[in-house]
Amino acid sequence: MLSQLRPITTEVINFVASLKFILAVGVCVVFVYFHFRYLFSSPDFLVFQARAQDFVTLVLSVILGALPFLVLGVAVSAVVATFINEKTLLRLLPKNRFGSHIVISLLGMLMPVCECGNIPLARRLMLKGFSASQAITFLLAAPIINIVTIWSTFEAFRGEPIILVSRVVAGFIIANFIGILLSYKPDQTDLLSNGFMMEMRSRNLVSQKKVDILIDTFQREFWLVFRMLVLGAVVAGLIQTIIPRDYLIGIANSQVLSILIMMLLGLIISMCSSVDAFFALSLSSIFNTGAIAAFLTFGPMIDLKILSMLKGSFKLKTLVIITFFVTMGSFITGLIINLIL
Amino acid sequence: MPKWLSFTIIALLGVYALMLQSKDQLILYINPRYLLSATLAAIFCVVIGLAGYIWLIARYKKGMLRRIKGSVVSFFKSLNLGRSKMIAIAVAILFALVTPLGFVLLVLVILIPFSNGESLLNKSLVIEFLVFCFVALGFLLPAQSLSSQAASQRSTSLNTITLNGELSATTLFSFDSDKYDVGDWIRRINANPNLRDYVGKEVNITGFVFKPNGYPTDMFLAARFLVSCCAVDARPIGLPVRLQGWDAMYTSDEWVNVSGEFQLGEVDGEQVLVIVPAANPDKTTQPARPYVY
Repeated sequence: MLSQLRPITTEVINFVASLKFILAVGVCVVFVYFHFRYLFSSPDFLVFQARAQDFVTLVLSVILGALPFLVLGVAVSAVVATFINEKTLLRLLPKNRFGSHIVISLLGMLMPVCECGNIPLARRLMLKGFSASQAITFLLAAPIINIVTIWSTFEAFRGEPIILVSRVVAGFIIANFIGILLSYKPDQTDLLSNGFMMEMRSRNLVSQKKVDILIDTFQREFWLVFRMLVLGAVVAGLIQTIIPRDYLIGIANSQVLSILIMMLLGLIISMCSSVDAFFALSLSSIFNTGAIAAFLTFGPMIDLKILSMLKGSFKLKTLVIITFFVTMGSFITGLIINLIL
Repeated sequence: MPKWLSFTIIALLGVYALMLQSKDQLILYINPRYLLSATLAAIFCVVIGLAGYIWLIARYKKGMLRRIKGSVVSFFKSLNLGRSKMIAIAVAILFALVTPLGFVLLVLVILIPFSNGESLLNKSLVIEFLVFCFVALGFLLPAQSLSSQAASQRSTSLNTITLNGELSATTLFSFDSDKYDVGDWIRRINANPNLRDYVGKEVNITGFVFKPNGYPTDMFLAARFLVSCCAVDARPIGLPVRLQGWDAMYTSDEWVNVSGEFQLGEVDGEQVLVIVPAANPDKTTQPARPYVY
């Protein structure tokens, strides 16, 4: 009898609790509704309504502005995933240490991919014979040094060309520095995680029809990129409509703090590099140029999504080394720009 | 995210952008130089969405409907809709129908954890929920330009703004300055900051009424938003208008045609050009292209 009573009691408690919740919120809503019903022309309500509308307009404008680049980036990424023959790439690389890394860092120009397509591609490269350090250089450079990202950054920051220049130069230097540094390690496979090592030994690559890969990759990557774009747009919209200007001016004026905050945002908001220039643009009136440049250099290389995807392929110590140098490099880039301007 | 839903969202996004462009409202969100590429991208999205459906049907044939039904059913199962949650949603939907603030309640009901610590929505679906919300809002709400509230959130100091457009030779040397709009004047004044050169010149501009903080009580800014890429980087620019008692006649965000001439005035200790209108400015409607580039 008692054992039958317990589930019913829990159900009832849940019911009452949620009913109370609904009643409480409902009462608040009704109260607010009648309060404003006679004060619909009250300044506070109109301000709230205008701000809410502005918020929606801002979010939609980020989405619409980024749309061409989003489509282009994903389309090219899908084509790359379908048609690129990694073996040919390997044969065409220069053999010496510096040459191979530099050429790899420029490969992104032919194969614009951001993290969604980047990491699977790097894994395939390693399976086909690239060394770990070479794959790492590709992973770090390809999101920045590619046509779609360069073009979208150019369009978003037409009035400030230093941002595009610093992004590309810093990306190139950091990616090659880390790759070449890691290439001095004699046992490259020590950088890779155990799970990936096992995958390397048992290669069973599923072959599919090209059409299937193309369309499937497109819809999967479109969704991955689009959802982060919307999230970023929402965050940017909230920052622009909610936070009072006085707080923000303090941040913009501080050289170091603004860089750190933008880099933190870059870590948390894992946006695809083909469209992150639009997110940065929305914050360009709040953060100084160095902070924006640091964000645009840091974000494509390291963020929570990338780290979680890399975890499966690389050892923790590899990730620590990469994260450390990317952070230092981006931070220094931001500082230099702030000092120049 | 089931594939069929993915293709639907892609197609809807394209349809939305094309809908805006067909009503000439895409211009409220992005710079005109992107209209073509945005339209092409939108068409591509619709095409891919349709191609995706065709691909799915070709792959799964009759099984497609079963798959769609299956994913919808498993989604609702994952919501763990017990009786209490269903009542909560029903009440929230009722409120949403009655008042716009009820819509906020509906969103809260979906997001906030219930007494058992779980919210209606799986945490991993929060972003998906946001995407659906904004696609829906895009279709449901009328397209709008930014309001003066957005202007007050941004700096209006003209010294921090340089317009991207170069001054064409004709604009620089023409005497048709009575046809200049707000953007033309700011470019001209940037090119030649000697304010005395402009005193007495005739001005005919259209802008929305906006009072920045710290403005004298007899002045407002006839403003427009300067947009470089899309509305998200918009900054307000404008020309000050001196009119005693203007706040009794106009409200913020109203669009006005101002005709008058330039005189020297002072705002925040800085010398600026102000427009002294010949008569009370006419109210007008928001132009089809409200922004300056």
